[in-house]
Amino acid sequence: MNEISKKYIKLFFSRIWLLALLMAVSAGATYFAYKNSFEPIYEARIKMMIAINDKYANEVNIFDSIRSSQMAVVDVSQIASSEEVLSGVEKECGISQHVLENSITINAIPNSRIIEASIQTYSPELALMLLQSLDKNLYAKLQEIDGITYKVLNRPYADATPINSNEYLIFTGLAVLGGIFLGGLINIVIGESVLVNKSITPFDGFFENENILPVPASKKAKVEGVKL
Amino acid sequence: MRLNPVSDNSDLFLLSIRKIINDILLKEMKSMEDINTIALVSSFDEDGSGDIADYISYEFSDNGDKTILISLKEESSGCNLKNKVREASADGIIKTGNLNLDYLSLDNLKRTSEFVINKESVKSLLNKLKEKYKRIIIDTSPLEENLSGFIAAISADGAYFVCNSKSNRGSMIHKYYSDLKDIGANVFGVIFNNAGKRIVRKIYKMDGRKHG
Repeated sequence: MNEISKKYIKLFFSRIWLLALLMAVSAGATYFAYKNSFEPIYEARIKMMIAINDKYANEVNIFDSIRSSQMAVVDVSQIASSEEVLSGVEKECGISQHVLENSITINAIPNSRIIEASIQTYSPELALMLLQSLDKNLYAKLQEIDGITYKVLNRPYADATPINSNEYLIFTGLAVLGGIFLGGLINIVIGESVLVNKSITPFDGFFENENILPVPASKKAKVEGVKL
Repeated sequence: MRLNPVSDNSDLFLLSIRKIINDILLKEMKSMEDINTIALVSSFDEDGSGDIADYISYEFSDNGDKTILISLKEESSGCNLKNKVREASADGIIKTGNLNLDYLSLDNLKRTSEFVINKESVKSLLNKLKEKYKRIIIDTSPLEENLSGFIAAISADGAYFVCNSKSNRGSMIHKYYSDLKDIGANVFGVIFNNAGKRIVRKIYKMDGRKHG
């Protein structure tokens, strides 16, 4: 580590109280600001396994059956978020399709026949109700489409704990780091200024007790009367 | 000498040089002994001892003291006088445009007398020059390059340690300065070259922008 790095690291931590103060202020401000504007988000989830009807499965071998089911996963994902299914949910729960589209996440697990569907809202009861309605409407829709069905692996459930409950810790942590960084920057600026104004001996005061004779830059100095 | 302050900085620079001259004269008065030979020793090339040596020589010569500037640098291109010389005498000494100021480079010393830098040869040279000159200013190679700075410092009546105040090689500067003191050099002081104007004014207790 060179001298300049050492100098700036020393300056950065030169006033620990300032770092601690800014850290506490920024962390406190962030915590209270976040707490006042905090809107909990709850999530309800369901896990389904897609299968094709037995009557078709009997006609093809097991590998073709699995392959067909995997292809059907993509179809079901699209159907679950289709207008017809969502309009059914809208009718039952009174939540507009536009809001539903933004709240529903359908995740087809690659190379499997499993689909995970989740809905995020500001109430766990509402999330569960919407998901149950989605399950019901999707199942009804698939009944109309001959050959595809699904089995529910995990019944719809919703956590009572908001999924964003730890966000304040992350933001408060970032505010702590920001406070330290800001305090360090202020320390460097103040430190440099103090060094310029007060320090008469560079090199950490090594020459403090010596006879010091400073000379400014000489580039423009001219002497009249000396003709070389 | 009249100062021609083309800028506040040049004004301050020349006044700082005068402060060095005053420092030498004051030491002379205190010790009641002549200070004829002064070495300027630096750690690195960037410290700029050459300019300081030039201007100290100008100032002494302008005060009426017969002065010679000796450059013990292997390449004396750093000296402002080099490109403005007229002709060298048989002993290698070059007359400058200033009546009281002469110049002697290491190149000329080597050419005329097969000069080799060591304690004896430098002392002998200085003793010889003392007969003719009242002030002998010695500019030396940086201490990181060779020992000429140490040799000149212990051979001269006193030495100034020149360092660039913006240098980031503080630990090496500390070391060279300690070495200089350890070998018994009579260090008159430390010249912080390239110092900030505020520091210059603060140390010399100058107020406002008009000086001199």
